[in-house]
Amino acid sequence: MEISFQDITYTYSTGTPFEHRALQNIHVQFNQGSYVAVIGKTGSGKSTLVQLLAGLLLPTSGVLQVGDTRIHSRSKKLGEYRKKVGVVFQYPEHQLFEETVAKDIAFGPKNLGCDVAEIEHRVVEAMSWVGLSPDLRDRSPFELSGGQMRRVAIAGVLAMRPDILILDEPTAGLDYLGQRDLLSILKRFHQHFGCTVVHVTHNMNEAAELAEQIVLMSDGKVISTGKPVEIFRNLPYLQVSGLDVPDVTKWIMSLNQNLSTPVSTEIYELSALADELIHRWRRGS
Amino acid sequence: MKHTKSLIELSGVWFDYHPDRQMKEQWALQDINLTIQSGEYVVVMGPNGSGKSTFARLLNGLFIPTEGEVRVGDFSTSDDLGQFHIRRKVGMVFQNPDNQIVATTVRDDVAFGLENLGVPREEMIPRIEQALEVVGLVGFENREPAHLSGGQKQRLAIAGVIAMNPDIIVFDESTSMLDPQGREEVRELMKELHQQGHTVIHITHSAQEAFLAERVIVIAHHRLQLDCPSKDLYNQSHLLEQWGLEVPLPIRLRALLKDQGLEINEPIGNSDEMVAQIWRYLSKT
Ligand SMILES: Nc1ncnc2c1ncn2[C@@H]1O[C@H](COP(=O)(O)OP(=O)(O)O)[C@@H](O)[C@H]1O
Ligand SMILES: Nc1ncnc2c1ncn2[C@@H]1O[C@H](COP(=O)(O)OP(=O)(O)O)[C@@H](O)[C@H]1O
Ligand SMILES: [Mg+2]
Ligand SMILES: [Mg+2]
Repeated sequence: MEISFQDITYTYSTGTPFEHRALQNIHVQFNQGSYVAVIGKTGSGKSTLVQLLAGLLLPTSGVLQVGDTRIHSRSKKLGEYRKKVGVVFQYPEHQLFEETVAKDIAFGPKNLGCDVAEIEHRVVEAMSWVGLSPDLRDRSPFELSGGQMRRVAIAGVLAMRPDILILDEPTAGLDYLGQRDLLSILKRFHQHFGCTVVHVTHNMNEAAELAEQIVLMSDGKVISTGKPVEIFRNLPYLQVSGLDVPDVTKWIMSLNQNLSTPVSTEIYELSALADELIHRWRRGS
Repeated sequence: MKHTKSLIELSGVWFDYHPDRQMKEQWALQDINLTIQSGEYVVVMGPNGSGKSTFARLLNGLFIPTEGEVRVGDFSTSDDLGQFHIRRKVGMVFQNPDNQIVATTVRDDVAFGLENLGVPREEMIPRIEQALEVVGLVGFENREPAHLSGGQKQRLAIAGVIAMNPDIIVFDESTSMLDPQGREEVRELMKELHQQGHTVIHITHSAQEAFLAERVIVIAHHRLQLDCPSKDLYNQSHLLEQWGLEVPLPIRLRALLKDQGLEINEPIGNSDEMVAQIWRYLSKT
């Protein structure tokens, strides 16, 4: 399903002293099946944007078109739509509530009306996707470590096999291995199911590594969108938005200060940088 | 200042939340022996669940060792008088800036802790001013904390801590929820506080942040596993890898180059030295 935000504005608490316009005239499109990263500093409107996409907030004005579904200020009955969208909120482990890991993961598929066999299949599959050992299925989620709880919460959303998977800062608070693991899970899940992924982050390394399209937000507006190279080309612009370039890019930039033929700053994976340096070294010797 | 004694001293410290229910090899912290001198800048790294936050809370007497002793200055956290003094000596800054705000203006938020201490009004005013000055929030006195950026909120939390005149400030993953600009603001402030003579203890997952400190401690599997000058980490990155911690980018690159036959054996003490080595190898050819 193609996603299209058409002149969307969102105001919190309209008509009260707390009225706050969080999004202003948003125009942006995501292709079906693409991996989209939404970046921007705190308060720029990222979470509001994805809550609109999840059907949890309605636009104050403008239209959100997702496939055949039109969402606007007076939309009703978004229940069917929400079934197609899986959302992993910030700190999702705080939303676990069932007595066992398996029941928690089964909650989503059950709500979708899957039969018992299908639910079981999806629970087993989702646990394997996120790397939870099968013998944890009957444990209470509250006896698990923070990192494992995060995996249970994410498994619950993956088990719904959403057409659109939304993740709001999914790696926040995880340790380094936890972060790396989760990113590789997301990458494989996206490739396997071909769903559209919308991943909110303020980690530029994550955005560069995973995204096909980056949406850069500032002050309630989309100020730029495009491929990672198109976004990270402009360091001063990013810094004004309170952001930065990926670590690899920063490193290539300092390397380039003394190279007659600069290394391409379109490289975001360290292994690709190593390949490039080896290539140059071999060519020279 | 001349130190005859360590500022912080942990001897034979064991701690658990339910010591009567847990086997000793599962306790949250096990056999910690450690000293920290006045004015040090120490980073603590370790996987999720390894005991870092527990360690932090032992330092300011929020938790008392189940076995062993924590001494800060002349006091022990195990006795009531000691706790009273130590709570004032050791300030804590936590992960989530939103959970640390208590008042509706910036000024009142800083005042809150001082009021609790019973500081007289005429003394409070200059202390608040000075604390806001240190964190760069002068001019924000009447602003509503809820409307500050993430970095500003975290700096406000730090002002609240500084106003209490602590000798030691413990940051428990205080940069992990911030966007790049907010992180940079807080890192700068840590550096400044250290230069002003505070003892800074910073819990983080970021290798980049580890190298801002002078000394790095690794807590993994509930035990102290490593304690060394941060510059040593560059050439002993296997130690970080062993505990699943982030290895600095230049060192990961060096390993990738070595896999493909380009061996850089010169010691690397920081990122610039690695850049210089690459230049050398590429121009040699
Ligand atoms: N429930 C709410 N009521 C009023 N204002 C809100 C609410 N939630 C968010 N905001 C404000 O809307 C703006 C955008 O917030 P958000 O979408 O959460 O940004 P981000 O996710 O990029 O940090 C911010 O200024 C924020 O303070
Ligand atoms: N309030 C608590 N009650 C019981 N166990 C706890 C509590 N807080 C932490 N723990 C346990 O203590 C261990 C260390 O936790 P913590 O110090 O929070 O680790 P870290 O900060 O390194 O992630 C973990 O096994 C954790 O599950
Ligand atoms: Mg947000
Ligand atoms: Mg912790």
